[in-house]
Amino acid sequence: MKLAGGTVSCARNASSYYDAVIVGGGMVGNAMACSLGANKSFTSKNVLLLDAGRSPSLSSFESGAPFNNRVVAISPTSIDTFKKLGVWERISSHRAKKVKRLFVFDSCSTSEIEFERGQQEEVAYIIENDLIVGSLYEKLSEYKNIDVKTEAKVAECSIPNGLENMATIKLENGNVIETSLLIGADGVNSKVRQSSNLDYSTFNYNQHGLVAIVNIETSNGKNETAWQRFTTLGPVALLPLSDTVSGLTWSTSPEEAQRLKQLPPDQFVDELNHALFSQDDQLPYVNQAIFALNRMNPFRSETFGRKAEGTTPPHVITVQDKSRASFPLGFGNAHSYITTRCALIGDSAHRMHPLAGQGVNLGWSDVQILDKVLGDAVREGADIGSVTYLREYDSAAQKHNLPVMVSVDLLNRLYRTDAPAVVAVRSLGLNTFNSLGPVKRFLMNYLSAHR
Amino acid sequence: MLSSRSVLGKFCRLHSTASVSSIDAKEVEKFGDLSAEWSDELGSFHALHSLNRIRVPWIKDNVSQKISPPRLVDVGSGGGLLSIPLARSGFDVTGIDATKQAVEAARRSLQSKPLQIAGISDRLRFEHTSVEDFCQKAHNKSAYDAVVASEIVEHVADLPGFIGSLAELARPGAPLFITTINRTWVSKLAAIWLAENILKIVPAGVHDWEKFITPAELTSHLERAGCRVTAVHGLMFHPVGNHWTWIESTQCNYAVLAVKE
Repeated sequence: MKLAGGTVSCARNASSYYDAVIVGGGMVGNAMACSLGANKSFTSKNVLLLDAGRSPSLSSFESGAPFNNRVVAISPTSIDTFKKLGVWERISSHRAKKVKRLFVFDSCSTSEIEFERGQQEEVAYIIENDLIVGSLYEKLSEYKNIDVKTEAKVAECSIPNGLENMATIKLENGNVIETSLLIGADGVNSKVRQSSNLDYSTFNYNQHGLVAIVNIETSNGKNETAWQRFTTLGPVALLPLSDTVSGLTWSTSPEEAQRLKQLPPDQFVDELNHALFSQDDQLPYVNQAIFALNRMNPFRSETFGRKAEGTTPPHVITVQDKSRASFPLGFGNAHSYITTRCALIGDSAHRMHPLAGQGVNLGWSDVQILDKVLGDAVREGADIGSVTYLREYDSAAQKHNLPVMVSVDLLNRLYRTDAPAVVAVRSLGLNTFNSLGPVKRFLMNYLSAHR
Repeated sequence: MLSSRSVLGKFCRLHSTASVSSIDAKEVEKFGDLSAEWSDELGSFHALHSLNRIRVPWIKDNVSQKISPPRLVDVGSGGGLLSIPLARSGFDVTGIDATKQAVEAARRSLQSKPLQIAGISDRLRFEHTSVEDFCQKAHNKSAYDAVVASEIVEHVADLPGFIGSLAELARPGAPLFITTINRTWVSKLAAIWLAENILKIVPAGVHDWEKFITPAELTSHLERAGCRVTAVHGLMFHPVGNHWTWIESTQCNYAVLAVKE
């Protein structure tokens, strides 16, 4: 059921009640709403989704239309989630680019790592954010237990100390909504988190993420590999969107990001190709050690040098008009994702470096965990705002998210230096890891088996 | 809340000394003093809140859903922290308790908006009475499709009388659900010393080890009251994580399922 922003003609300050209110109509908030819509325990409950904006129309994602510059890499686990929610068809019928291989390399040495799964299996899909938001939004209209209010901006929320009171949300238009459970899916600067008084640790990376849509040229005309090269200012990633178009995520210093954004397109392309191909920072003795080790490694199939094919990224030809944008990068984590009558999901609870493309996937994992816990709570006749249940979400989600967040943070720190000792250790480490087929297969199976 | 508590406390003491029943006046007073904390999930009763995760499904799974909604009486309902989830799960619930403040706290929570909107307040009521008085009323005799006495039998003065009253409330064939604590050295260590003094899981003095009941005693009381015990299971509380699991050992907490013949 959809309620347009203006048509809810309640008297000022009129108060209404919902069992749960989700603040934030983004990729994670909409997925939460869809999950609860499909949750059998929630059929007799009423859930409200508050979207500060308006949902994007799916017609702008037909083939041929220009690509949107905000894209995400979706893990196989998240794809399963979308299939379960019944939105995968809708997303993939528009445009979702399958990535069969992930190739990570270093600007300071020849070390490399390659992730590949079976012929038909994907490592990830690259999809535009708004296509996901729009597809989930369309699906919501099928659920009678979900109301959506668009252009509904939250002025303030209050979260009670105990179950005897309700959580309340006051909208900018003066409407007041009461609820048993306030779900904050309102992003990095979450209003819900601020009202919850939950402790939050955060720091900035002094890096900006520059995004753009670029036209590329590959040797075989196929664009099925996601490329990431670590440079001393941050990683540069090319994520396939079609055979000739890729999404760029370039993490670099804030000043560099500003400068690159304003460069004339052809100069920007030159600098980007330089960042992808330059050999200036290579350390010869590290490379010699890698070469020697490769020759001795019994697990490595080709022992003479690197195979040329598939180890160089595509050349960037042009950058699409007005597709460049940048935003600051940071790390953040709420010490607890829950309090009585409140749960935080997605970026409102945790934020991380985009280099592994994990951020939103963690948000969808939150959705899965919270959906299950709330289903249990309803089946067991509990108050869904009860911390006895919400705590289970908190501990499961923290346990799932923190190792990923901390590893990615370390990875970013490890690669922002060109100090020879660090380069040597990381290169040999990465290279050894890449050559040990059995170990790598075990890790990949572990990661993708985490379904 | 605090000022009204002492007034109610006096009233309660007067009342409980006046009534003739299995009620233990000291116990009633003890719970009167704790009444403000019933709904606090993190307070004195947190282990009872988390016990719901195991006892609500247990009760739900063992009551025939042919009658809709099944009528259930929760004896020793306290602040309603089991009665309310049972009502939400589809039962028609009457909660009775000898502690007036607890009943008042339970009635206050009935006013909450979610319960009103979902119509749960209509099939849930709380009475301040003893189980003996309650089962004397003609309309309550053999009237219930399920009888629950969870974490209460270790607080009563006259156990055979109490169990007899429970049995009178159940219609023939209806299940009785009892959870309590065994009288063993394990329970002295875990439920009294560890839980009250060291881990502070429950308020000090809330339990009296001498009043704990062994499964054999409980079984014989039930059998004399015309009930057949069909299952006895152990329960274990995990203080880290605040959750419960079913275990085989009945050395400490345990649950009994009986059926009125």
